[in-house]
This record gives sequence, C-alpha cells and structure tokens, in this order.
Amino acid sequence: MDAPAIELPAKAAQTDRGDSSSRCSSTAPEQPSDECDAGQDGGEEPQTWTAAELLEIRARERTFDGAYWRTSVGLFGASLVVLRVFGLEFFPVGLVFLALGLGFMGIGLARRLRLISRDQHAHSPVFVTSGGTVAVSAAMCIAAYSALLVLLLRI
Amino acid sequence: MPPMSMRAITDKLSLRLENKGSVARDHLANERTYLAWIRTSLSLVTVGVAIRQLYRVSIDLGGGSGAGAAGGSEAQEPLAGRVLGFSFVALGVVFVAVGLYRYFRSQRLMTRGEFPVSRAMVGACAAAILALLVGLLVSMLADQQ
Repeated sequence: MDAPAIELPAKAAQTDRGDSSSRCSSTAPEQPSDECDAGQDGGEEPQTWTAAELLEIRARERTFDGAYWRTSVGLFGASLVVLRVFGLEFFPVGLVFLALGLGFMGIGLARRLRLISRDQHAHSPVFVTSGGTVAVSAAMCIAAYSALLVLLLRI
Repeated sequence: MPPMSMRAITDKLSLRLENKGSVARDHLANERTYLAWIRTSLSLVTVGVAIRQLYRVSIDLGGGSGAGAAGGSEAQEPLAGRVLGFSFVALGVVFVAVGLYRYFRSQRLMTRGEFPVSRAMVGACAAAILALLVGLLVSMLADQQ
C-alpha cells in the first residue's frame, strides 16, 4: 500500500515537466529533470554553494535528517523499552512500534532521496508538497494505533 | 491500475507549486510541524502502554502481601489502568487526526499567502492532556489509600 502512494508525486512531476526533460535526456530516462543538476555537479571540482542554496539545503536536512529521523529513532527506543523491559504479553506491542519506526524511516529516506540526492542544489522549478506521503504516514499511524488498542484491550 | 484517479488523488493531496522564494521551505516547515504532532501522539501512546504495564506491576506487588483480598483487588485494580491506558492511546489517535487536518489546511492556505494560527485547537489538546493527567493523579492518590 505504501509503494504506489510514495511514487505518486514523482509521477506527477515527470508528466508535467516533460518539456524540460528533453534537455537532459542523456542521463536517466525515468528521472528526467531532477538528475540534470546532480549530474553536472557531481564532477571532481569542489562544489560551491550560494547562500540561497544553503538555505534550501538546510531546510531539507532539518526535515529529513532531523524530523523524520528523530521520529523513527523515538519509535525504535519505545519499541526497545517495550520489548526488553515490559512483560512478555507486551511483545506484539513492541513489534507494532518497531514496524511504525521502520515505516517512518522508509518514508523519510524515500523523500530525502527525491529532494536532496536528486536535486542537490534545490534548483528544481517545481516543488511538489508532501501531501501524499503525509497521508500515507497518517494512515500508517492510525492503523498501528488501532492494532495497539486491540492488543491493549486483549491484555 | 487507474492512472486517472491516482492523478486526481495526487493533485488533491500533493500540490505542485512554482519553487520560488520560500515556497519549498515553508511547505517543508509545515511537514515538520506535522511530524511534531506525530511525535506528541507517539509519546501519548507510549505513556498509555506504560500505564498498563505499571498498573500490572503494582498489582503483582500488592497481590503478594494481601493474598486474601486478591480476588477483589484483581477485579478492581486493572480498571483504572485499563481506562487510563485506553484514553491515552485514543488521545494519540486524536492528535494524529489534528496534525493531519492542520497540515492540509495550512498547505491549502499557504498557497493563497495566508496562514492559520492555531489557538482553539491547541487549547483543546492541552485541556485534554490536562484532564488525563488529573485523572492519573486522582487514580494514583486513590491507590495510596
């Protein structure tokens, strides 16, 4: 269920930026425009960053290396405590936390790949907001909490 | 594979915006705010699970000393922990819903150059947490006697 919804914004960006993809069709055909900048800047000469680019990069790193990573690390910690410290009947509860943490890590890494690795200097003319992945992560959370409620009622 | 309906859902959930000025940064900040709501709700859920476990520990400890009244206390004790644990997890669900609603509302309004200042919603969430904490305090005080 996760995979197609994560792909959605990428597909939308592809179809809409078909005109710009003709300039850099020599790189990867499935990621048309975002790979342009990364391909040119990936040479051996040191990269120079303007202040505006650094501002954008820092905002992306705060989101993906900061917020998403912090969320999944917190979940891993919670699952560790539940698995190791709590009683044996709480074992499935710890597994639910672990799965949720892995899900948030996956979503964060997928969006990081798209917004930092492929668009290193943040020059992409179109910004796709994260509504799709936010909805997926919220559905993931609600599903996990429902499982927790059922588990807690049965304990 | 229905590409048209998927495209419609994408356009509704993820907006494609012209990346100029602070557009990308503003929307990334909105996403971070949503994640902060998620983390708050995760803390609430963890507290709910911990309450269940801690009430069980107190039952186990109390059961050894007062073995005669074990039948009565075992039926009565878990109820407070059960209700409190359930309430904390349910409040976690509410917080996810609030974060989701706030994310999409801000996303829509920010494209028009507006921003929703949250006041009543944050107040209501704080009041709900306060009510649960007062309930926890009352339950703990009742356990002392």
